[in-house]
Amino acid sequence: MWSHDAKIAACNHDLFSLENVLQTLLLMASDDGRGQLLFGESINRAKRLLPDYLVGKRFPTIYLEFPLTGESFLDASVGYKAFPAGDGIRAPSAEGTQEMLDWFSRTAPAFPGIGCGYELDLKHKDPAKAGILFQPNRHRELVLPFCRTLGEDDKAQLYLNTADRLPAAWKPSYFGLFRGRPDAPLRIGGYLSDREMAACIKDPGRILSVFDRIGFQAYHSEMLRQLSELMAAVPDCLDFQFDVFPDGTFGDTFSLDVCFPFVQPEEMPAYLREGEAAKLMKLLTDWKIADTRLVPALEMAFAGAIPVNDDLYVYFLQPSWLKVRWIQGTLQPAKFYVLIFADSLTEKE
Amino acid sequence: MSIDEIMQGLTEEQKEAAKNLKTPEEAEAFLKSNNIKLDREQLKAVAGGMDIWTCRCRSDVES
Repeated sequence: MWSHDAKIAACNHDLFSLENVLQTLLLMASDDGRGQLLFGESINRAKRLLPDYLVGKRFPTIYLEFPLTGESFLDASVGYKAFPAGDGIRAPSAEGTQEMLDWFSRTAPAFPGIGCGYELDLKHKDPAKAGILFQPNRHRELVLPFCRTLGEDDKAQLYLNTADRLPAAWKPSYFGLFRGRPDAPLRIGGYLSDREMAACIKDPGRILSVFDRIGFQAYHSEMLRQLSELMAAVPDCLDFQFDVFPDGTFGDTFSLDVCFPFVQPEEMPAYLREGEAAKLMKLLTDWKIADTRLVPALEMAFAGAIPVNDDLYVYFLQPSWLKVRWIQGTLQPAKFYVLIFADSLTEKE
Repeated sequence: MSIDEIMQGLTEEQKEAAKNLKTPEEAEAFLKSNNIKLDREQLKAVAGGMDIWTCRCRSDVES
């Protein structure tokens, strides 16, 4: 029995090199006029810059992120569940992260479910240092060692202190940090349990009490009404995100990531237009935080395969969630997140 | 449906065309025109192996 890697290696061309697979996925994402409409010029930067973040033999977790109204652009995040020992990222935007990658490659095997990655700003011609993402989940003991590899020890304490201030049902699972910017906020996020979401829908005052308890003040009654309406339209589950400044105060941004359940790709457009998620989509357009580009965004959903020897190599574009964000209590354009990936269908050895 | 069953459902032309693909553009054209169906469980198995940032980590939340 051939291993997955042997099957792929047996092909006499490099169609399944990670870079070619990425370019195929980006072509599919951009097809039918979506490239310019949804991503603007930044799709070209994605094609040029993302390959530097491909490492090892398996395709990483890549999300394409783009707004559903306003100026079109594309950002991307790249996440790893494991990282090959001794390897690195050659992109200038990842400079200064080798120690983090070495630590992660040593640590991740003992902690299934953790992840680290990069947030790439592709909107601007000269992308800055990539943001860093770390998902410790419940492993609080990993936060300081991780931050130390980046020389950002103080961010660890900020994360842990904030976690302690949040109510039990709002415990964070991950954070994003901007390196080398001591005054920049730490973005802290977590997943609401189904029980907590149900309680918030039943009693919107519950969210208000969470805000008041932690000292988040950038809201008003209209935002609370919108939060309640949004939660009632969530088809699957919710993430929340706050910004926290080095002095422990909360920033004026609050976000909810509304996750979609796993839906067969060919059924996704109908599911979001007519199924359980239709109410959510109507809210976004009524609030004018999504426009007609919502339709091509949904139509990006795809799964297909290329036969390789006696295996299938699967290409997948999966709408995963959308972000609804308030700044000083005012709604911002919604952002759509599509997971792109590819892998052999054979069970992994 | 097993991989073997999917492979058996492919025509010789499809298999031959797949062997001759060289570039991302050719791969994309093949994927668009040869709609090889994969079932939900197969896709979930692949997706579950990749997705680390979303609610797919909910076992951690609910525990």
